[in-house]
Amino acid sequence: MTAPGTVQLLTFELSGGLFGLEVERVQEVLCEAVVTPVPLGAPGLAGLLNLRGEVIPAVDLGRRLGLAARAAGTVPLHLVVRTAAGPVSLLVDSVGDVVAVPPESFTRIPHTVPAARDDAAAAVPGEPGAAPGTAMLAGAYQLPGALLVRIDVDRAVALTPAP
Amino acid sequence: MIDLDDIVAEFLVESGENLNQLDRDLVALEQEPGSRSLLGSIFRTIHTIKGTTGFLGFGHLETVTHAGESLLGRLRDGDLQLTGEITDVLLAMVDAVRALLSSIEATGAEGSPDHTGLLADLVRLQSAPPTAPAAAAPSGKAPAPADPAPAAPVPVPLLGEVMVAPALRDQADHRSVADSSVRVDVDVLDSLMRLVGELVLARNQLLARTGTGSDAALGTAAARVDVITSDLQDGVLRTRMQPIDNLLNKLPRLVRDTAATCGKTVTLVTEGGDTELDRSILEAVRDPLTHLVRNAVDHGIEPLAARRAAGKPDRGALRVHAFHAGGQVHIEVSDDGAGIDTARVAGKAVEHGLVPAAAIPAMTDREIGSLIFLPGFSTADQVTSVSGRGVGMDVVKSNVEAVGGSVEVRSEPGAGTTFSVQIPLTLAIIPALLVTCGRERYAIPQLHVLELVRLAGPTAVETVCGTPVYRLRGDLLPLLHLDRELALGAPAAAAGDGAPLVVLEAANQRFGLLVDGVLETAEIVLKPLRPAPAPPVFGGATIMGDGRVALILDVPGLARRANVLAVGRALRATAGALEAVPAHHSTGQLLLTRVGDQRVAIPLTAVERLEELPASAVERLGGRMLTQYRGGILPLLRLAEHLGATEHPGAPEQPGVAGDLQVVVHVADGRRVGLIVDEILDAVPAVPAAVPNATLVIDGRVTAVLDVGSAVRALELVGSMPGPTGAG
Repeated sequence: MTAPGTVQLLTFELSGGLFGLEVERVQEVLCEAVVTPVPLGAPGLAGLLNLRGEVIPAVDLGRRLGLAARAAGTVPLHLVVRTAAGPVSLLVDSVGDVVAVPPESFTRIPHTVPAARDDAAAAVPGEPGAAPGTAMLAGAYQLPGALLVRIDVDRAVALTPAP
Repeated sequence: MIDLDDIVAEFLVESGENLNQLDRDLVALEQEPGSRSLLGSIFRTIHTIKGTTGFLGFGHLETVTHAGESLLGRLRDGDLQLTGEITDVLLAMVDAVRALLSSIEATGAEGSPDHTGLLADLVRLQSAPPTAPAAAAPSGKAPAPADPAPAAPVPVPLLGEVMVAPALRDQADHRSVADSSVRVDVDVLDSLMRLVGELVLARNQLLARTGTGSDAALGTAAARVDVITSDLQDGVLRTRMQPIDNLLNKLPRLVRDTAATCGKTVTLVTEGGDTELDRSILEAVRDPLTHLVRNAVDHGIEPLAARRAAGKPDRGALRVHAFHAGGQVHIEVSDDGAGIDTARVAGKAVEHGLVPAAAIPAMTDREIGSLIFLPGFSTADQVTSVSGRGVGMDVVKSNVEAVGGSVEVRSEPGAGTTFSVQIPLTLAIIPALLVTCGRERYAIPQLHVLELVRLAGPTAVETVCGTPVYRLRGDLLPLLHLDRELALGAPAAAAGDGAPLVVLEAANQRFGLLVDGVLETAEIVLKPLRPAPAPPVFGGATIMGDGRVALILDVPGLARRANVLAVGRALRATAGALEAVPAHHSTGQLLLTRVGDQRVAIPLTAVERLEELPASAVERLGGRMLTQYRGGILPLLRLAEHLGATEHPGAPEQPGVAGDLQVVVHVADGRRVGLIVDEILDAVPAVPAAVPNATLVIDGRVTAVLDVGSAVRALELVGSMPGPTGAG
């Protein structure tokens, strides 16, 4: 992965970790939304929600990344991003500021982290048989006091259907 | 040059329609070669196209249409008779024009096609010497004699005037038709549909909130919005409806060409062209319909020799009939061919490994016929260029099912085959039954819902071969538990009293779906399920009145996943064995007796009394056995003799008074008769299968059910007996 130029990332927290994605991809943030689960759906699909009359999917990003499940009773926020197939909601714990990250602070993520791998062995626990090219983590930025991990939006929303 | 582009676009659209009309007219002309009106119409159409192409500078088009016009001119003047060859060449010209037009549409230019062959044919036929009237039409009708007096037998200068007048008349007609209809861009219609869909959702939400409100004025306004929304919805849906004639009118040419390729002659009859359906469904059904028609001509209708041998008319008959029924559009493609050879179909299916050979005997003819829809199936011994590559029928089925329809086939050997396609009227807004399961609500399209049943109790669900079934008016329905099908994990409440059962039908197989509760029927807006691909049991999602998302069940998908078809088939095979189920299905009792060394069961309803008579009470008269009984005379019949059991009484099974006769008294038509058995054993519960002359296994022994009527008749053959007389 080549080091990108300065980008603006919207930051959010998920399971205690700090993540970010390109702010241009963000459509809106929802505080409350009722999610209808989809039985027999893809494991990473939390369900469907009603966005002003449009039915959009909600992706359980924490599960996709293999992070610890959200504590019962905590209500997630919905980070709605634009994709080629329409808006998709990503479940996050909280949303932070937009941060401009300098390219010099970019580092690759070691391949010991499954979600950063691009090969067939990148099986995230709970995500059976992830296909090659599913590296959802696009890199990390060393910020003063924190490591910001950047999410590849398109790969994060590309769910593999349940067998 | 924007104006020119507009003109070209307009020209392309109109010419496209004109060419379709030409196809129809030419094929119709072949049946009526003398029709002046058809000839005139064809000539004018070509002439119009030719004129415009010259103006727009499309050289190839002008050349081709000019040659065609010359040939048509001679036909119209009566100098030439229409032959099959001329029709072929004219149709080829139409195709060439069509190809040129699509090239113009795609690239703006005609390209450089080679029309040498076509032009040569057109010129050759046009310059042929005048032909004498001959039986040109394949139907063998007497052709119209060469009419030497066409509309304009005048020198060249006046020809111009004649041509203009009919064209003007056309335009006048055209204008009045044009005034009453408009062309609307398809995108505009689609966005209107989308807006109406949103309005329906908002209306549902509004109604949900004002339903229990105390504000009367708001309630009234909401009710008005409701009515207006429904009407608007109907109106917009209607704008998207197109008559199926758009598809049907392409068929005459298709049938003609296919028949010619196969060396057959076929008459096509289409009915119900004004049946309307949504344009997106129309598009989806176009290819399947084309394939079904081609298949009927190619495989359905037999070759000429076979038809003659079967005493059928030389021309095959093909009927395409479209109509509305039960909220759906039905299209039937029927031929009068040889029907489906079920043996051959079954053989091919087994040969291709599509079905195990052992399953064939249990299948009905209809099920075997449905095997042709399996992928990879083809009975064509040689793959024809028309069809038979083994990719046809399954594509038809999947295309039709993709729009929520179904296709089935019925066939009568020797008489013909009918393919029946059913498709929903529209996709976007559908009536649905709302049910609850687990913590969520689900919508089931009303299309597939046959009825709702409340289970009478836990015993209403029986089990056959390990499958839960429900007996509905004599039929066995395979049962599915929705919570199990969706793997919801919650403990399935045992189907108790009053549990709702939704009876569904998909692909002609009925089955029952057990849910937690039934809410109501409502019109819902179908929204696509993202991300694709969705689980096959769901057909989409919708937004309920309270704003929550509910999933829409895909009934055929559910049935396929649960293998309901196979289960249904297995159930039918075992249904016969099920008839022996006793207990709560008893309809009476049977008297079990021993006659000689046989067991005989007599329906207790036929027994008036059981008597023990001493052997001395039996008197004989004229070969008959009688006894005095209750003030009358009772004719007696030894069942052992009647049934051909061994003569001697045999050893009694139970200890009893030896020497006494066991008599079963039966009343027939007001007269009593006595049937002598050797031993009366027991009364047992009856089974539905206990019909006269049946053989059952009761208590581990083979038992025959007595045909009491025939026993009585045997007595009467011996002679008529006087009825009970006074005390004697």
